[in-house]
Amino acid sequence: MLMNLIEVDSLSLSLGGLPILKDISFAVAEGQTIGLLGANGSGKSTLVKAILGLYRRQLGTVSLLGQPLERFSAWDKIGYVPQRASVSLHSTTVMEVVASGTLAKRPVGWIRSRQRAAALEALALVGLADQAHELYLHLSGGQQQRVLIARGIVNHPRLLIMDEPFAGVDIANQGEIAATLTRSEATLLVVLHETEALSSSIDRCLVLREGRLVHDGPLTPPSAHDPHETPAPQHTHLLTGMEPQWTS
Amino acid sequence: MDLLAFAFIQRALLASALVGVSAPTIGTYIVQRRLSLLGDGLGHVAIAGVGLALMTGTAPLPWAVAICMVGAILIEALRQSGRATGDVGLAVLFYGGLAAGVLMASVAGQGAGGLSSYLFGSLNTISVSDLWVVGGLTILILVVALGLSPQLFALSADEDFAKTLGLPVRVYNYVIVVLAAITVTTAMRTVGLLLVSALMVIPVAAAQNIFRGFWRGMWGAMGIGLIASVGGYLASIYANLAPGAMIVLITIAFFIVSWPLAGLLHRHWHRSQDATDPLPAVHEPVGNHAHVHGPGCGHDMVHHGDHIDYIHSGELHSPHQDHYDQH
Repeated sequence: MLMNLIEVDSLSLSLGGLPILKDISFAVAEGQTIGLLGANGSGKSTLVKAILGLYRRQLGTVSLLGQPLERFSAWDKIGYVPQRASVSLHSTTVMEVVASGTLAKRPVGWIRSRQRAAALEALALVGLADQAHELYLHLSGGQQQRVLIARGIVNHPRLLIMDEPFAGVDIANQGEIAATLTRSEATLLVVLHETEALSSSIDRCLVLREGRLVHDGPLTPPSAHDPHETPAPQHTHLLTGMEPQWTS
Repeated sequence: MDLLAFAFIQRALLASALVGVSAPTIGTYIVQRRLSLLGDGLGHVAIAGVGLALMTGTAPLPWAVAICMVGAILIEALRQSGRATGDVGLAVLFYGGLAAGVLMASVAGQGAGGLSSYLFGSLNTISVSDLWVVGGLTILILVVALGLSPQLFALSADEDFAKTLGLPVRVYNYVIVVLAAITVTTAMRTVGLLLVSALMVIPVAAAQNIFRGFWRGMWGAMGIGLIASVGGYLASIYANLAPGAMIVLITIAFFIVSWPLAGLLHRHWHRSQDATDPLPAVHEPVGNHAHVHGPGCGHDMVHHGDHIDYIHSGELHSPHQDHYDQH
């Protein structure tokens, strides 16, 4: 039986007195690719951050790689790609950004040539090796997003958690990044607005609405589309607030 | 007799150099975290330490260091608890420190005038014991700020991501503000508590315009801080002007010059990059190209500058208007 890399049990979280996540439970088995969907403000980013322990006060339990979050230490096995809009990387080169990802479990010590080589390898995987010495802020939005993906995968993580990794990335690059991610063999939990680029890889889809998990199952019902065709995105209801027709 | 032969001037020169190097080092992290005015606030808190020293008749520097460190820890605790929103808590702390300092100085019978040498610096009165304290604290700042530079950089650039690396983010946040507090107090005898923030921030801003990348920027800021501090002090003693103000104005001159210099260096860097581009762009249309390239078309994609090429029969093909160019 495959190990669960993420186990969330009765997770609730309030920020500023407002309940953001309400009694959420699910598990992610090793090797799965999970899409996390929901309208703006439904709690997707908050859930991702709560799973990673970025909030101090939350109810319920979270386990990563079989360890309770409070005692979790294998941070080099986890990759995190935040939303590009949430980072501030002024006057920093692309190489410096990606190399910082190699500091997992290294609370002291300088960055060595072996780590720089790993950073360059990760940059090559997202097609930006030739931009290693460019300033991060001088890149286009899509390129900046790919730099953050390179930083997230630099340690070859078992579990990769990404918050809207395709925001601002053009269609051609989305396909390329999706191919890179599926090749990485990491278990993926991906917050998505648009599913096209990863739709053929998604094993399961979690849908949040107003902080509650309202769907945990396939992206589209198996009978609803021709298995030989790329499934059409079936989450427009999230923006309209209507019930999905295929809720299990 | 040359002014540089005087022992008090030699001490002042050494103190200027130490502070000129250490202030921009910690300032690099402060600027990266967009907390450029933290030093200014801590300078206000340090005044309480000076006032306490005047009231008790003891040496000001240790008191200022202690009070400023406590203030810095309080500020960080407020920030981490999420209660510093609106900056009201910070304002109470900063102006409370200033008011307490002035009040204690007046109790000591010195009034606000007794504080002026700390507010604006008094390099020429630095004693040997002051110099030892400043030297020791500078070494501490440099060892920690440079020794932990990758981790402190990761934290300053993206705190959430640093947490997911398993770094002790809370501890390092306190390290940064405590180092800032120590820097402020070591600089109070050189540029003074009111101008110390300038020495922490402006060399960093100038260096980030000139140098490419975080670490080059940090070393560059240390160099600019050193030149401005030593140069500013020397200029002040020969022209008989206020040294602290002179030092800060030289850092501002560096900042002003850094703008046009940054443009020149940027153009030079891109020209040298283009010259060494392993995939020079040769725009030669490919004839008779019926195949349409795109994701999943069966040809590998490679990034070339600002666009994507497709590897096709040993050539790089790039879409251009209604045809493909060979790059």
